[in-house]
Amino acid sequence: MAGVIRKKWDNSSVRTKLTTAFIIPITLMFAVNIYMYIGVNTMIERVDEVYIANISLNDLSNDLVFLQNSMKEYLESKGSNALNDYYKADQEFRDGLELLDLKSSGTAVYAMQENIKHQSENYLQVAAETITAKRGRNVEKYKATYEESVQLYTDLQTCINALNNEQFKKNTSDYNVLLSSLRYMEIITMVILFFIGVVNIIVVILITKSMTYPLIDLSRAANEVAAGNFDVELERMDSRDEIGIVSRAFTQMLQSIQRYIAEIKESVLRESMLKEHELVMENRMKEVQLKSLQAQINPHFLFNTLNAGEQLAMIEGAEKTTEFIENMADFFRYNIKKINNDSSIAEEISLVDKYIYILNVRFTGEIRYSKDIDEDVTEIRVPSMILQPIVENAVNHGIRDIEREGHIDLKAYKDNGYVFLSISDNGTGMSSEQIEKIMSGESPGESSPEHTESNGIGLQNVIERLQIFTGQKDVMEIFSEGKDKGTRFVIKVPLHV
Amino acid sequence: MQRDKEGKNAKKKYFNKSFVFLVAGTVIMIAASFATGIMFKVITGNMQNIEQEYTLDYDKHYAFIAEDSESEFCKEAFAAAYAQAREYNAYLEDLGAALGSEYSAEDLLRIAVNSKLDGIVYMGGAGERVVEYIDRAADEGIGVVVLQNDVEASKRHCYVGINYYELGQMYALQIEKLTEKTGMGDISIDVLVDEDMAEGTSNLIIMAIEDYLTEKNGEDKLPEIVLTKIDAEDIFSAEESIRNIFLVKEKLPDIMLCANSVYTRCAYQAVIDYNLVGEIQIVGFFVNDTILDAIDKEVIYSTISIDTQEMGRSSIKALQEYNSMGYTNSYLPVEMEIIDNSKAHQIINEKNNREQE
Repeated sequence: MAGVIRKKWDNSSVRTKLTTAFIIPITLMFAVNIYMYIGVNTMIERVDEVYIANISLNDLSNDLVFLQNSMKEYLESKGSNALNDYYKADQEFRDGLELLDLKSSGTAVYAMQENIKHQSENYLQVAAETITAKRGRNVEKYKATYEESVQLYTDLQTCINALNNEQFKKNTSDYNVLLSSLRYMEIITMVILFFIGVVNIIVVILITKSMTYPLIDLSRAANEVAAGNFDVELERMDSRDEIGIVSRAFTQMLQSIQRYIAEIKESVLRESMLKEHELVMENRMKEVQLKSLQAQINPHFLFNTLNAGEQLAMIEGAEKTTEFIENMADFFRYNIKKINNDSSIAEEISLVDKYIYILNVRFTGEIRYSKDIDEDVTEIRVPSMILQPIVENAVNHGIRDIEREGHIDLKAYKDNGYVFLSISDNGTGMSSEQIEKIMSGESPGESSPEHTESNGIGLQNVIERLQIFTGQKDVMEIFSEGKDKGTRFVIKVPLHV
Repeated sequence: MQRDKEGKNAKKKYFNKSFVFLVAGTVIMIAASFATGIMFKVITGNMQNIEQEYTLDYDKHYAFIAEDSESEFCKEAFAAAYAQAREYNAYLEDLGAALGSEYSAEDLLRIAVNSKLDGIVYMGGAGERVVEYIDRAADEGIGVVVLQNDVEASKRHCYVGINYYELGQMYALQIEKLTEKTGMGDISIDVLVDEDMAEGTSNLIIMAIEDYLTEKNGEDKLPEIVLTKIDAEDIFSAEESIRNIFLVKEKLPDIMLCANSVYTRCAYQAVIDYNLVGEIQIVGFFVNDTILDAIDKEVIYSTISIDTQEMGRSSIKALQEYNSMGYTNSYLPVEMEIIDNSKAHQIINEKNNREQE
């Protein structure tokens, strides 16, 4: 039974619990108050009743006086008013006697009351005889009966006074008992109300504490969670009330959060591993690309051969041949030396110079070559072999087949955090489709390895290497206004890579 | 897995004590309420008891009227009569106690008759009015029992009291003992009686003494016996009258015979005050602590004890008999006993032993 009630209590809502916890003590206090109120009220009513008997005895005594006086007055005056008064007084006295009921006041008082009643009967009878004798003008008789009535009246008054006195003594003792009882009840009432009040407060405090404890525990846990500690311990709640539901929901939420955090951690780890892998792959590919680009050129044999030729020409005293071969040798040495590394813009420009010299020797000075170099940018590092392929492209596809004198202009300048390397020719120019193809990588450029006279590095290679080097997409622009309007290549490299 | 996780976050099980507190609190408060209720009941119950003590049912209502209702003699007789009345489911009312001392026994008799009581126990004088009221009562069917002093002239139904002739003989016996050594020749004896005592009664006492002593010693050796009537009109007059004997009389009596307890006490005090202990011998009437003590100290020679309780009981029995049968014995005697020094000593010892126990 208790278990069932307990279960019901655990399953009821917080509102029901709190309402019950307040209603039960309040109802009890109310019931005790009502009970005490009724008890005290009953006693007070009894206190009020105590002196009612005295009042009625006083009334009876007054009635008797009135009766005796009205009789005497009638005897003196024989007036009808006096007679009326007598009858009225007689009735009132009889009524008073009827009302006199002191059975509950004890034997002594009751016995005295009975005495009074019997004496009154005598008295009333004698009084009536007196009146009758007076009306019948029987002077002797009414004188005698009046005398008797006076005696009876005196005795009666004495007895009424004695009874009144006795009753008063008894009432006083009853009153004292009532008063002391009332005082006891007052004390008991105060003590019990105080006691119940204190118990009430304790019960409410304990119940509230016990009910709010899980909430406090929950808020502590919530604060810890807010501070970033998800490894919080919560006491397990079995109750089905709102607090239990919230507590369990919080515990589940905590578990879900922990699960999600674990999953996110796992996925981030996986992603970073993947990225790392991708980067490695990319690097490898670049390496492979570079290696393959390198593999396209094998200038060692040629370089060594050229060195031998240069020495031979020096021995023979052929200065121009020596200079030519020297430039050739430098050109190929540069290729070998720098192909794996970056180089300064100055070195790149020097290579272009050598290349143009070789071409001018081969084609008897057909190319007019000019350069405008900002000395501030000459030490900026760029990927090696980026200018020569472009110049080569300008010569082969721009100015080789034109009738007029071919011009190649090289500029190096900085602007807005970038270094710009511009190679322009006055050759046949390029259509926008051609430019687009080169830029989109669809066409590797005319200076492809297949081209017999090329050093093997195409425009696409230059663009790709620049992109890898700078980490930017926008590394080169090609401008051409159309056929025979020449072409301008502009390389854009950040000042600080 | 789920269970493990749950365990991690909620290891301890929370035991909600709110139900325990609620139940415990409710039980305590209900217990306290019940305790209060019981206390209230006890208090109101006590009050009812007090009232019930005074509320007695009775079939017959009797009045006890005594001239000297405050005397121990009357009180003892009344207490015994009251207890006897209760046994018969009757109520004996001490009429004088309620109405006050200004009312004489005569007045009380009148009131008792007018109150149409079922019976009257009267102890007092035998005046004309008394006879008149007793007669009226008898005429109205009210039983009247007279105690101690008979009202022979009235229509009283029963007299409960001592045989005064027997009393006289007892006095004579004491006189004989007192004069054993000295002889009776010159001694004088004063017999103190109530002024209201009927002439015949007092003469009966004197006659009994004389009869006894004559029988024992012969007529020639009779002592001088004086009958002194004590004025007992008001409360202090008896004491004054007795003192007057000591002041005025040229020759004080050798023996004083007191016919009631008040005279005994007064004579005893006067003997001490006038330094006459041993010179005047007192033979008292009635027994109380003072008299016993005086006998023990040999200030009073002896006393005649009467069974006042028996007197009270007999009066009620007579009234009951009258009310049920319509008649009763006209005389019920009461036993007497002489308490001398040795008897007094014995009584005192017994009393002390009882008190010690």
